[in-house]
Amino acid sequence: MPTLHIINTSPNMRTALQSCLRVMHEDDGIIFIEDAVISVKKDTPIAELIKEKILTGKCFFLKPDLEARGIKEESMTQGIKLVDYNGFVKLTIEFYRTQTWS
Amino acid sequence: MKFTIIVNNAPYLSQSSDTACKFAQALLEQGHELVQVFFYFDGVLNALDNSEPPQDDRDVIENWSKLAEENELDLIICSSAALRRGVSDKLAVGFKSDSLGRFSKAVTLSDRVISFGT
Amino acid sequence: MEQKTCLFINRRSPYGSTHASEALDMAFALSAFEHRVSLIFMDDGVLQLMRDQQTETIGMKNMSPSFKAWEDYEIQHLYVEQASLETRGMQASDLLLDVEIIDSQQLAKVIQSHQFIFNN
Repeated sequence: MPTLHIINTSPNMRTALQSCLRVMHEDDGIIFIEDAVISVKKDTPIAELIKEKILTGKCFFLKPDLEARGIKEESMTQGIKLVDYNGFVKLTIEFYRTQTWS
Repeated sequence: MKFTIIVNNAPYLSQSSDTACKFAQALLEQGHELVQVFFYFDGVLNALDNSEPPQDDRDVIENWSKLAEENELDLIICSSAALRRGVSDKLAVGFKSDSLGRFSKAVTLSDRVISFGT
Repeated sequence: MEQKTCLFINRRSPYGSTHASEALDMAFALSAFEHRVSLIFMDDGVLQLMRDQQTETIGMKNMSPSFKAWEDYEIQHLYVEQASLETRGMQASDLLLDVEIIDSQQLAKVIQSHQFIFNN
């Protein structure tokens, strides 16, 4: 029964992402929201950190938060998935439980 | 599906309350049930009734009040967290102060409990 | 009344913020209202269980007696992540309680065995 991990802080400022990756199950998903969306940028140390998770097709980013921060699609790592608030709600149903990391 | 949402952060200093409100709106539009929105930690400051943000900014508290009125929501602030922060009698429209016991009942009735912030 | 399994993941140091103490209030309340509650301490959260906390001078309520009452509140399990202890130069003997010290894979399984996760 996989978990959806919700990360809301920048991995350049906080350790939420690193801790999440340490204790997450391989079937789990991650959604990056708010300041965490900077994790989307390709060719960065963070992109390297989440590379394997992206390959599983379970790395999601909240599109309105990317747009608000001016992050363009061409600068994003390939294989990530963009969702709006409706998609976010659907993910919380697809996965069995959620865990927020700040 | 039945949801409980927890809002842990104060409005404005953090985006969490905005995101939670948009998430709540989306789940209601999809026909799901929102059993309770529970405000904890500094999240209880979302219930302050005399907030007046500048005209070119969004009104976080009013957004919650509107959502509550349109959907007959339970916006519950934790009474002990509120007391500690001086949030007491006059609350914004739609908000009520109640115990962790009220929250515990919402947990009982919910399929998903989603936290925003802290 | 349907019981739920609730897991509190405590990642913050005590005293520097109210996260630790108010999270414990919520955990004890959910347990008192018949839910099955367990606590995990990881990252700086392991500091919440440090022995010999003396808070008189900073003028804050010492959390240690509350933790010692965990059995009275029928908390199911107290887990501490081994890696978090190591990173902070701590070991089991530094802790004020006997807890279950688990590795990161075991922690992942504990998360999977609960319905609701609370982060603090």
